[in-house]
Amino acid sequence: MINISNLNIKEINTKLIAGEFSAVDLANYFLEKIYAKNADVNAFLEVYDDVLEQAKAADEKIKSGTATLLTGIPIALKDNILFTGKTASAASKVLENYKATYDATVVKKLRDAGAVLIGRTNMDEFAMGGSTENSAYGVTKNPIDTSRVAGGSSGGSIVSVAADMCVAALGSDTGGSIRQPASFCGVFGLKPTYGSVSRYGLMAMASSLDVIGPVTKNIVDSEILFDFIKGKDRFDSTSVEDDGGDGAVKKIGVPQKYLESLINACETSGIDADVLDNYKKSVEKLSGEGYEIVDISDDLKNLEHSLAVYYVIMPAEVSSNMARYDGIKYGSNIEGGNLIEGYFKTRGGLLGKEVKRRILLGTYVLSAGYADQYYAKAWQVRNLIKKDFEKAFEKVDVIAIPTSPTPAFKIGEKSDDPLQMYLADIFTVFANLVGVPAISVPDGFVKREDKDLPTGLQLVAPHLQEKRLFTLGKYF
Amino acid sequence: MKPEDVKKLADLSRVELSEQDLQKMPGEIDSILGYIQNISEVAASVDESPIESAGTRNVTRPDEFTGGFADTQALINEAPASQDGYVKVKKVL
Repeated sequence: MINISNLNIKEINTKLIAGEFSAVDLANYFLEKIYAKNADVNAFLEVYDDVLEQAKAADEKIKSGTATLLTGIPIALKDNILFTGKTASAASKVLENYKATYDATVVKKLRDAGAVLIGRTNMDEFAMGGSTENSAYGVTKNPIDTSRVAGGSSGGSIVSVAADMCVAALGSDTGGSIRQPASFCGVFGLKPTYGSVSRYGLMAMASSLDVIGPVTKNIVDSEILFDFIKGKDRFDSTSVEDDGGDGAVKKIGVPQKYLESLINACETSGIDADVLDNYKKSVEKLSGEGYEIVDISDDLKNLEHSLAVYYVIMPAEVSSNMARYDGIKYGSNIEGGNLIEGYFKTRGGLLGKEVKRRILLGTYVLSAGYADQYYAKAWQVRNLIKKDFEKAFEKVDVIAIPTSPTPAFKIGEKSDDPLQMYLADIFTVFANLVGVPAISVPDGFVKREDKDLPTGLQLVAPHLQEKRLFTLGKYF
Repeated sequence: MKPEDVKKLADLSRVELSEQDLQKMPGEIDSILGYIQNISEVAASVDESPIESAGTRNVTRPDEFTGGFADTQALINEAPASQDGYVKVKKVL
């Protein structure tokens, strides 16, 4: 069978239709890769047992002339997205044996299109983390250097694509969980506009921030997959129609001064010099393509506060959303002597440390006497950040900023210091706070210990203007 | 923050913490609270009410029955304990 790894979905589709190979061949091709590689990287928590049946059904669809672009395309799901009858654990012990009772809207759309859902991927427990080290089922390793993290929280989905174990995957992004690991592993990760993709069937983490998005090997596939999963859904009242805009880009905004100031910042909150170099080269490349580059540092005065705002609003919403895991309605439980003791034991014993830490932090910032000091203030600053971006987007069509201040870090390097771990999201959380679409595209490599580690360029567009990201993403 | 403060938050959240967590978490939470401290100062310049000014609004739908969940038994099956089609809990009173 020919090398499929470098083909995009359109090219694979053409070959499937022409009969050069079947959907079953395609599924087997990737299943073999999963069996060969998964023990090393731990990207998949489970390969579904009906992959070949799904592929056979896709072949029937192709024969009958009703195939879509996605028919027969093997796609992986982050373990917090529901697929009827399959385990969906969010990489948590509390949902170890939970089987989904309905399809997430994105899953329904993929199944209707004839995609082959190949398996569920590892993640930080309930999507809380930036390294996939918080999984109850072991860390996902970076395929480029297995002593390093893949990033997170969608680390398994990213590695399933980066290590060529499937064509594409779905992840979820609350503060950078698709984009940061995409940059660590050298793939394309899109966080769409808030509300453009239905979250029905996605386990809620922080509901004013969560969105589902595609992880792909190239920009063509990002656009194809986004077009299939987006749209208003009666089961998610925050969902909206999104035509992606017209894709026209002339001016690109760069927070140059802000980034330069970080170079001299303290070691812990700064950006690596060679990561910044890659960023500058990418901006020059776009300038060379004829785009006008505008420094918008002065417009984004409150950008530097994004992470602080995020670490108030996110845990507040987490503490509310996690209340449902009580060991009564679904999932696993630990018996107590009475009802309330069962709650304490189940939540104490089956939720991981980071999840518990965020529940406590959220409970604190929402508690009487502190809600005004933290939660209300965070919303006020969130609005300032939003207004900053509105102003900046009056001047420019797209904003370019590095995805992450560093390349992939070592496994264990930050796991004992939650604040250091949080700082890895410093360039991504603003897009969730503002609700705008952002994509991480691979833009080069930096050397660490003789390994070439990928870096990512993050492109950000105004609400509902994803096509601008696809316009610029084609240069990478 | 002291271990007893963390214990109080854990009680409010209905989470049992190990002795080790009770000792370790105060420092971790303090360092995060230190990091988020400055937003109060930034927000001091703002006089708008927090959430309304974000331009967000509630989206509601007509309160009409659009069909129930097809397979209630499948839902019951996911509960750790059930009996006769009901979720089973320890006695409340």
